[in-house]
This record gives sequence, structure tokens and C-alpha cells, in this order.
Amino acid sequence: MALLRQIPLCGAFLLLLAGCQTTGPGTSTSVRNGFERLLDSVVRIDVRETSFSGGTTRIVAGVGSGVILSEDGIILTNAHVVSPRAVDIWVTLANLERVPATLLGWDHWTDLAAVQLDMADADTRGLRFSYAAFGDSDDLIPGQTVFAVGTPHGLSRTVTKGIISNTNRYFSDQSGINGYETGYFNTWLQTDAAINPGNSGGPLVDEKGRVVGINTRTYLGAENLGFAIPSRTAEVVLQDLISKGEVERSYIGIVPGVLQDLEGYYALEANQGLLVNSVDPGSPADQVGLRPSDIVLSIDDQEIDGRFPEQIPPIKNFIAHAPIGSELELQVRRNGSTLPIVVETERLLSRVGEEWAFEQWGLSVREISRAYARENRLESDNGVLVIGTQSAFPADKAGLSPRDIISKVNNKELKGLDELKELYGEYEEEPDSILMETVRNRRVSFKILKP
Amino acid sequence: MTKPLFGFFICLSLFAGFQASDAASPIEELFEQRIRSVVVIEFFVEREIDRRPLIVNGVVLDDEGLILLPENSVPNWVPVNKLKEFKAYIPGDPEVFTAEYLGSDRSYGRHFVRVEESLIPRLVPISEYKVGEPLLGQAIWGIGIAAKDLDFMPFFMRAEVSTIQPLPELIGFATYEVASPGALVFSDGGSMVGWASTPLNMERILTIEGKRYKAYMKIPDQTSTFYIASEWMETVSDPPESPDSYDASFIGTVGLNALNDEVAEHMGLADQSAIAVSEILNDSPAKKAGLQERDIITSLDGESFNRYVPRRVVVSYFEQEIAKRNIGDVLNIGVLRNGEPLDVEVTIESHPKLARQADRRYFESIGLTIREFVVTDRISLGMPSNEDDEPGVIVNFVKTNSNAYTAGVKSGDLIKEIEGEAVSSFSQVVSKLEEILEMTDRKDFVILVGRRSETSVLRISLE
Repeated sequence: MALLRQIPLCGAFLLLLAGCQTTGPGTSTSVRNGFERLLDSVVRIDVRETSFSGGTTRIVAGVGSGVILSEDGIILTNAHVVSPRAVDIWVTLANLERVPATLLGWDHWTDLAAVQLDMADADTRGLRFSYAAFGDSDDLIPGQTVFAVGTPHGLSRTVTKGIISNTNRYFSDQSGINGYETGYFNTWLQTDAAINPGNSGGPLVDEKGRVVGINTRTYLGAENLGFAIPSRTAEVVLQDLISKGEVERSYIGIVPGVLQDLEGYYALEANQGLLVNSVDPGSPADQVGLRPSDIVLSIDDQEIDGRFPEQIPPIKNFIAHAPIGSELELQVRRNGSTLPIVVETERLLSRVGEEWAFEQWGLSVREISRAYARENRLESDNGVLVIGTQSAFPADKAGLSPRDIISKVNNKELKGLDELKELYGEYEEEPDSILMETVRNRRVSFKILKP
Repeated sequence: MTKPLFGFFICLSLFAGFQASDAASPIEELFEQRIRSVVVIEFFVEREIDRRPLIVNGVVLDDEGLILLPENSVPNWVPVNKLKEFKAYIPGDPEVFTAEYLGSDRSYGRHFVRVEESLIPRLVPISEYKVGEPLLGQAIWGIGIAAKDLDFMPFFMRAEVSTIQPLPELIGFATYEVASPGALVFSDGGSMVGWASTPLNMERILTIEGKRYKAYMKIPDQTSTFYIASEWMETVSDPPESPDSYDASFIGTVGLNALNDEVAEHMGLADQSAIAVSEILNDSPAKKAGLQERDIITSLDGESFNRYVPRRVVVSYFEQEIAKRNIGDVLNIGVLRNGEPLDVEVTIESHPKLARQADRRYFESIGLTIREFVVTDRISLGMPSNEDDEPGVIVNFVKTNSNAYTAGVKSGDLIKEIEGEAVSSFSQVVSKLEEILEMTDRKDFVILVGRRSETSVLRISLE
């Protein structure tokens, strides 16, 4: 799936504001009204955000799309359009007025983010906008006409037309959003409506102008293979983003595989069971003795059916929605007998930890999360991960390079980013040579950072 | 080894030159005689579904047909019984002679072959030649060997000595390519000055339609580097007792890294090289001697390491010093631990089984080769080296579109369970698989493999 990419943000230089002539698709007035109202609620989002890559703090700019969904100016867009690193967010309304906005919440797991218009500013200027309504993505049928609205390649207010090609597409995504995991908890709407860079975060709508999905990704090099997050997923996530700024999910640490072709082997009743392909070391599932090749038949009396890949995300989502720290009772088939296993959930964490750049060192680092440590078979989540260096700066001259883990500083174990920030503070006051021990692919080496 | 046409053109031009001259030059006489010390060896590496031919050059060591091949000439991951049909050729002669593989030496990994008796009278051992010390700027010449379709035609090459460096063995660098790898280098007077080593990667900038690309290039069958004959001759040993015998020295340190200058200076090791140890294998001599992870090795048998250029050469030096010692020898290793110097006495043991010596078995009906787990797999699979259980068997080969392939088994996977039963030893896996494959009523079976930090349950169909 190397070619599967989130739609890249479109460079600001591509901005070509054409006149916005739009015509609704339907003939009846109500349909036409609904669609026009939708068009008036689609916005262009210009974002400038901090980047910590390359050993320095930089500002990078991008353009995406979004849709206003409430009268108080709440806009839904993609997590890869607006992130917590945003420095400023400018929204261009349908009437070509620009309004600043702030981030309400962010969820890379579903690639969704919510921003809110600066309503005080909008009120002062007497700006008006309309807002769209969600449709139900579960009611969609393949072949049904849909429209994608957004800012492809900076071309604001572009409408493209297509059909729903598949309502339940599954794909695994290794690349993620700048390394952040995505697509674990939802399947996708597939459409042949043209989706291009800059469409990201814009709505996929039905003929009545109801938002049935958020356009998110496309196959690079393929034609007319676009993917949108279903409104069923988006509605739930949006509520959490508004109320909590994030989506808290539970984690137990099983990696499911598909049961397809294995049902006969495990002598299972029809349409039941989830294969445990892998158990994350040290995870709750590992601690209670769940093992690879176990078959989970039910969770809290809810029967589980994970035979096909597209059935996996809803099951993961079901587990994710259990309260953090709650106990789940799994009925597990092992060696022909069924046994109950109770597992206590913990909070789901990303493999991507907090990032930071130490400018005088020319060093970008990332906190090592528990998930990263497990994935990479590290003994602990101590230390920080190097993600970039600036050439000819002290870190680069010392020989630090991306994927090194800084494990010790001046012969002292480095716990994490906060400790390194402290040490950097001391360095700023009184620059002095620093001895760093790094580990990379289990190989240890030493480096000296010199002022 | 490929022998491009390039060599052919050089040949043709040289031969044209030869024909034009009236009488043989002194160099031509030397050349005609010296090429009798170079032999071309051809053999096959037999794999599950194909055979791969390899052609290498070697030199004649004695008057009994013993040939020495360079250390990288025979792939070190191939079991000896998969090296097939050794043949020998005299440069420029299409006649085929048989040869026999004798194994590799324990310290340098160079390989030995013996050619059939009828060929011996046509060969001249290198011991016949005076050994000369090449000097900077001195003119040297060497023997080039053309491709097989040109009957391995020998051709003359010439260059000058550019520099001589300890890496850690003394390596001569010539101003141009001066010989084919595995062939010989001489002075104008006919003294043997070197044994041609592997070609260098030369960094080049390619400009294609205005775009610049950095490229590394090498001519595979010509080289400008050579082992200095005087030092090299001293390290030539006898062939091993049997082709598969392997008693290399082993101490069990893993992930050796040379310290850079700033770090060395910081640790008070300003004028010397030193080595950081990443891991120590369990049950190894280093472990028994009390060597620890993150120790800094500073000296061997009381002698501090030289400061090599480039610095990483110190690691090769250390490894080579160990390789040269005998089993049972005691090394006195000086280390710096948390800034404190101390000495550790490590008794060299015999190297544990290598991947190429591991038991292996090809199950043709499912297209899968499994191999015994060896200690070095721990390192190549990135597993912690301080555990000592046998975690399973290694998938060594998966035939494309076989049942194992369709099931998603990949080369390098670690088979941990079969049919829900944990497996560790090779024989256990073999008997388990044999048992399953013999059952006529089985439709499929399930294995659990480890791959990076995850596992996968895979169903292998038997239909």
C-alpha cells in the first residue's frame, strides 16, 4: 500500500482563486437549496504550523478544506490539515471573508480535527455563513451519486461528482500522518469523485448536500480512487473533540489477524471469532496470558465476527470505546476449549511522542512512547529519539542522526524529553561539552556535543 | 562475478600492441611466466530451485595444485555441501580441469581449492618469486583476467603505487586499476609485491540532463587495491582438515563501535583508538570473564590500540587479533568501565555454529526451507543477546507461489509454534512437519511465526 497516501496539503503558491460559480445538481428546489447551503458551508483552511524536523523549529504552511457544521462556527477537517502544532489557522468562508480560527481537538487515529471560527471577530464584522448537516453514511449504497467539495490544488470551492464505489473499504496504513497511526478504528467510503491534494478535510456529500464523509486520502498514481471517513465515525469523534479536545480510547494490546480460511481449522461456529495474531509485549493482554493464535469469541457477551479485514476496525473500535481501566471479559477458544479471560484496559497511546527542537544544538527529538518502545523491543521507554539534525550544528558534528536513541547524557540515564530540556537550559546558560550515549539497532555509541 | 566487455577492449588493444613488436619485451616474458601462477575457479551455488554460477581468480600456493582464493570469493552463508562442481581454468585456455574445494582458513576466511593433477605441471607456485616491497610512486603491473567467453584471456595492467595504509592489514592503493581481484601484482623487475583485493567503490557525480546524482561506481573485475605481498605471505596458512571444519576464535562481544576523537579525548584516550561494546552474548567467553555491555576496550595484551585512519579500522584490528589467536589462548583486554580502567582476562573459545553450518531441510511439497537457529541469528534479528533459550527455527527460503508463500511465510521468519505447540529445536520441528506432511487427510496446518516485534498466525494449505 505504498502508493496510498493522505492527500498532501497544497502549497500556498498554488493559490488560484477562480470565480466561484456553482450550480446544484438537483432539479427540485429543496434539493437545490440543501446543496447550495452546503456549498456555502465549505471553507478553505490555510494553516501555518511549527515543524520540529531537521534540527530546528520552522513554520510550514499548507492549505486544506473543511466544512462548517454548527452555527457557532465549528468546522470539521482532517487531522493532517490542522494539528496541535498549528500556529495560526485562517478560514476563508464562501463569501471570501477570512476569519481566524482555533483548534478545538485533534484525533490522528481517525484523521479528524475540529476548529472553531473566532466568533467574536465574525460577529464584529457581521459575517454570515451557513452550516451543513450530517447525513447517515450507513444509508449509502454503492452506485449512489456523491459530490466532493473542497480546495484541490488551492482551487477554492471545487465540486467534483462521482458515485460511492464501496461503503466499507479496509486498508492498513503503515505510513500514517507524519508517523502518527491512523485508520485503525474505521473503514472508509470509497468514491470515484475526483479527490486531489487540497481536498483534504472537505466534505463528501449526497445529492441533498448532507455530509456523508470527510475526504481524506487517495491512491497516488491511480485514477478516481478516493477515500472518505464515514459520517458515522466523524459524528462521534466530533462530539468528543468538542467536549474533550481529544478521543480517549482503551487499549488491551492484541493485534488481530483475519480468521478467513481458518474457521474450519479451529472448528468454529459460523461467523464468529477474532484471531489474535500478535500480543504486544507487556500489554494488558500479555499480562493476563492472552496468546497469539487464541480466538476471541466474544467480548462482554457481545459476539465477535472478525473473518474479513473490513470487520476488524469496528471490533477495535468496540474495544477502544470501553472505559479506560475497565475490565473486559473475553471468551477465548484455545486448543479446542473455551476459557474466560478478564483483561483490564489501559489508555491507548500513540507511537509518536512529543517532539521538540533544541535550536543551538541543531537537534530535533521525540519522546519515546510506551507504544514505540514495545514496537521496537526496547527495554524501557527511557531516552529520547533523534528525528533530525541540522548540518554543521553541534548535534550533526557530534554524529547524531535520525533513529538514534539518546540513552545517557554525561553518564546519567536520560528519562525523557523534560530532562533533556532541563539540560539544554543549563547548556544555554553555560555552554559546555556534553557526552551522549546513543543506541541504534541495539548498537551503543558515544557522542560529544561541543558548543 | 561479471566480466564486462570493457575488459575485452583492453585485451584487444594490448594484443594489437604485442603483435606489432618485433621481439618479446622483458615485461612480456615476465608476464607470460607470471600468469602461470593465476588460476580461474568456477563453481555453482546450489539453492532450492536454482543454481548460481560464480567465477573467481586464485593463486597457486604450492607444487601440489593448492590454490588460494580471496576471503569473499565463496559466499559465507552457503553450506559447504551446496558448493558444487568446482572447475579450474588456465587464463587464456578453454580447457576445463576439475578442482576440489578444501575449505577456508580460520583466521582470514580465505578459501582453498586443489586442482587436478594433470594441471599441476602447467602451474608455477608463487613461492618461486622474490617478494618485493612496493614503494610510493613505484611503477607496478598486474594481471587482468577477461570474461569466460574470452577464455579468461590474461591481459597486462599497469599503474603506480599511490599509498600504503594499515587497514589493519597493509593495503596498497594504485593510481589506476592494476589487476583483477585475486590475481597478482609485480614490480617491473618481476618481484611479487601484492595480491589484488576487492575493487573500491569510487564516488562519482553523474549529471543526467542537468540533474546531478551522487553515484558509487566500481569495475567489478578490476581493482586498484592489493594486499602487500610480504605481510600477506606470512599470513597464508594451510588448508583446514575438512571443508566444513570451522574452529574460528570467539569471545562473544557484539556491536563493536570505534570511539570518535572527541569522545576518546573526553575519556582521556586522546592519542589512541578505543572500542565501545554494545552487547555481550550469554554464556560467551566475554561474559564469563566479566566483560560488560558499554565497556570501552582500550588495549589488548597490554598494548593500547593505535590510532587508525579511518578510526573504525580499530574494530577490524581487534576482531582480526582475536581471529589469529588459538582456542584456549587467554586475551588480556584492558577496558574503561565508568571511567575506571581495569583488565579482563578472556579465554578464547571455539566459534558457535554459523548459519551456513546449521542443519537445514527443504520441504518441497510446501516450498519451505527451515534452518536451525544459531547464535548469530540473535544479532541479525535484533533480539536481545543476553537470553539463551532456543526460540524456534528460522525460515531460510520460501519458494514463490508455493503453499508456504501463499500462506504469507517469509524468509527470515522465526517459527515459534506449530499447531499451537511451542517448538524450539530443529529436530522437533522436522519431525513435527514430517508427521503433518505424511497425513493424507490433512487439509491444512497452522504455524506461529515471529517477525520483528510481532507474531503472525499463518495457515499453510496442504492441498
